[in-house]
Amino acid sequence: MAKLQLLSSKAHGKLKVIRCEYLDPSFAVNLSTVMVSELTFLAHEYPLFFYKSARSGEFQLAALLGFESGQNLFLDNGNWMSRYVPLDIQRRPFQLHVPEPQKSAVQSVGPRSNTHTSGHLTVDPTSPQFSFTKGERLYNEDGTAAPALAHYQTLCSHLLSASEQTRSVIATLVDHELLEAVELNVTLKNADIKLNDLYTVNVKKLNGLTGKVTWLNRYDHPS
Amino acid sequence: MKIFHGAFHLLPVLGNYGPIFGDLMLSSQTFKRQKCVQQSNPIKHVVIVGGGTAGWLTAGLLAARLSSRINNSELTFTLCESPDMPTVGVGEGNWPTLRSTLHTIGISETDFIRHCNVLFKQGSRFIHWENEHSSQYDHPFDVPEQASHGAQAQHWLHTNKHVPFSQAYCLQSALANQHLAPKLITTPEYSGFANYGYHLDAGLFAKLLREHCVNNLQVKHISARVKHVIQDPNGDISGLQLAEAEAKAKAKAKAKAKAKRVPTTKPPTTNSLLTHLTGDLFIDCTGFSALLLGKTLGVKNTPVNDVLFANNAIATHVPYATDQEPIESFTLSTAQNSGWIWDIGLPNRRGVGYVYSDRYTDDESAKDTLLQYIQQRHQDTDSLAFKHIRFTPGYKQQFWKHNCVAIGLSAGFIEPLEASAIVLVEMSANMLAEQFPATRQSMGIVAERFNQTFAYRWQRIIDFLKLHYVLSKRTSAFWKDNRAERSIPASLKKLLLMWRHKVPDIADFPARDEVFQAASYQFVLYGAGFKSNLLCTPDPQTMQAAEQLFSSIQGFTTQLTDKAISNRSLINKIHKFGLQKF
Repeated sequence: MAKLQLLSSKAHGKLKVIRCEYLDPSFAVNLSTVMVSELTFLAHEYPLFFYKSARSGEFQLAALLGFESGQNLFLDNGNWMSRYVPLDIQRRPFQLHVPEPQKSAVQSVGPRSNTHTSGHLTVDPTSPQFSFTKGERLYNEDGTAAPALAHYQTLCSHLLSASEQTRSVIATLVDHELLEAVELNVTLKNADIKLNDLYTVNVKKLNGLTGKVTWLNRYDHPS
Repeated sequence: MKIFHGAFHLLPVLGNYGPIFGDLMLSSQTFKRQKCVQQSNPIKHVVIVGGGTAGWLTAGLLAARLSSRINNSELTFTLCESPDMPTVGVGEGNWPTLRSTLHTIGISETDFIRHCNVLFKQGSRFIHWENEHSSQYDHPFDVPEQASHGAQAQHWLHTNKHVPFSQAYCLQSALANQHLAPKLITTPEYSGFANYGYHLDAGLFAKLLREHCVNNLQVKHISARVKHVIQDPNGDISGLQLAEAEAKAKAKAKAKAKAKRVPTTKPPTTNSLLTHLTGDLFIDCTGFSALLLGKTLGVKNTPVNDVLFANNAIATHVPYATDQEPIESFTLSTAQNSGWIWDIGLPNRRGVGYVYSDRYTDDESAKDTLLQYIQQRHQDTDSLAFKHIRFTPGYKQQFWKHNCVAIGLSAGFIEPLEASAIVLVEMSANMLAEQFPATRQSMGIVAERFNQTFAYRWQRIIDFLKLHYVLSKRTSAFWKDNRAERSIPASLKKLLLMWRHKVPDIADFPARDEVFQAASYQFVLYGAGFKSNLLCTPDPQTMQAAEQLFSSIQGFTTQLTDKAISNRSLINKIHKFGLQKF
């Protein structure tokens, strides 16, 4: 497990980040979390599903990148083989650290409030995406954020709000029980692959809905 | 014209038909009269007396399963509970049946787990039952396919496996040994990769059921003590006279609600002026006191203390040493000189109690035995509070008499060795829902079926519990006497004779919805060291399938920890994230 450090100009002033080349082992994944806001770009190039987070059991939206654990068919010798790259891939090797909301002494019961508004970037300086010689500097000489870092900061803050929106859309789908499990059977030249634990929107149920589409309302007027 | 004329003349008689129509006076004329009564006597108002687990579970199941009749105003349910009546509150272990029951009632598993200190129970473990030394065997909830036909049992006996029977064909003992949960956070509500029931806090459970019944299932709730039970001359219960304690109780409830600040829950539907409650069918959930069926209608117990000796229990709650301490997946039952100790793991504490017979030990020594048991894991016993329960093991000679049916402890009570109390409540309420009598006149037929079914079920439960004792080789007087011929029911003796040369299978348990199936008997028999001497070689196909299952289970066992997570970690996740509904 990589050791994460909170990013600072003091500790990481000389660090450079390598963009457009996907070297970090964390890119070798067969599933990437994606956001509702990027679906229009993703839909042309990626198979999209819902899946349950192994940590929390909560539904998430994902692009399928490969058929087995660790297999990323979109990755070829450090190059990403599609026009659009999911935001959650783009933001790597940076990670956003959002402090856990203060817990009361009593066991928390009921729906959580998930409205995180701020976080702090963290890095694993040993990642092959970082270098002291190659790539773009994170900080200017005076310790202010260089354009490369500013790019990642914008990306991460966008992800933070996009994931809130995504969560709210998924919650509406789950509340109306609009998701259903699917089994994906893929026949390849030398193997038959069966993928379980994927979910998709039940179109029949979706079309059967009456009344207003509440999730559209919900994120037009965030309360 | 004639018919109308006849009916017109009958009307004045209706009010007091009891003494006038003697039972012997069944002339053709009275027959006609009964027909007339039938038309005007539908069962519309059901009154449940008693608000413990039995009362609210019964109310919930009935109101959920008969909800369309409630919506059509064809049926009402009212539960009346005494505000100052303590519940027995030790009904902490139950069966996988509770999953479908809660699903039917419409409570989400996440809410249930969060509100009732719930843990997933995966079966029972019997420690030192076979003998005083290091013996133990398991009765897991997972039942392998074909177990009812005895496939695995025959294979196990024939191949002389050295793996204990319960671990040969199912994973549950291995899960329990490592304190692993039967499901993951990604597993939908009410399902699991291994079978499970629950350990829970009975007081909190009754509270959750009450809120759900009142808020979502249109069950009317009256908080008042029953002062007097009013009977018709024919013996039927026509109503209850309630004590004036009402106002006091209401004020108390209000103060409580204020203190807890839960404005979202509606106050229970009560009528402060109500002193008289009438009904067509009365369900006695009044616990040991059996106020309606026992005290009012005079139905006696069938005592079984000559078969099952335990008649006392002393119980307490033991905290965990740290909030990281593993939680047991099985209800542990550890044999003692004059009974056995239950140990039920909840996320926040253990419920522990000694069930014993006062013919073999006294209360003082029993408490010492329990203290010694607790001190093995938990040093401080000074701060523990103990609760003493005395009971006469047995069940009612009739569960349904006139227009009154008893469900829960009022129907009977025996030692909770296989946690059969709650499942009997579920089965009773389900049968009542399925065969709900349309009229007072058809009630007698349903009552007869109900009485037959539950007398059979109680006898089978008693047989099964007794089996645990009969198989023991322990040597104290309590255990020796438990093996005495005269204490063993004839039905059990016959089964034991059969099983000398065959394995328990479906043919031995012919009833629909047997409480304990053949697989349960196999787990206990072969767990406790009993060997059926099969005189014929089992069918090769059966053997091959069982051998395959055996190998795959043994293979799985080694990789369990990669896949499953601990009980405690799953419970914590559910508190934090909840379970998905699908």
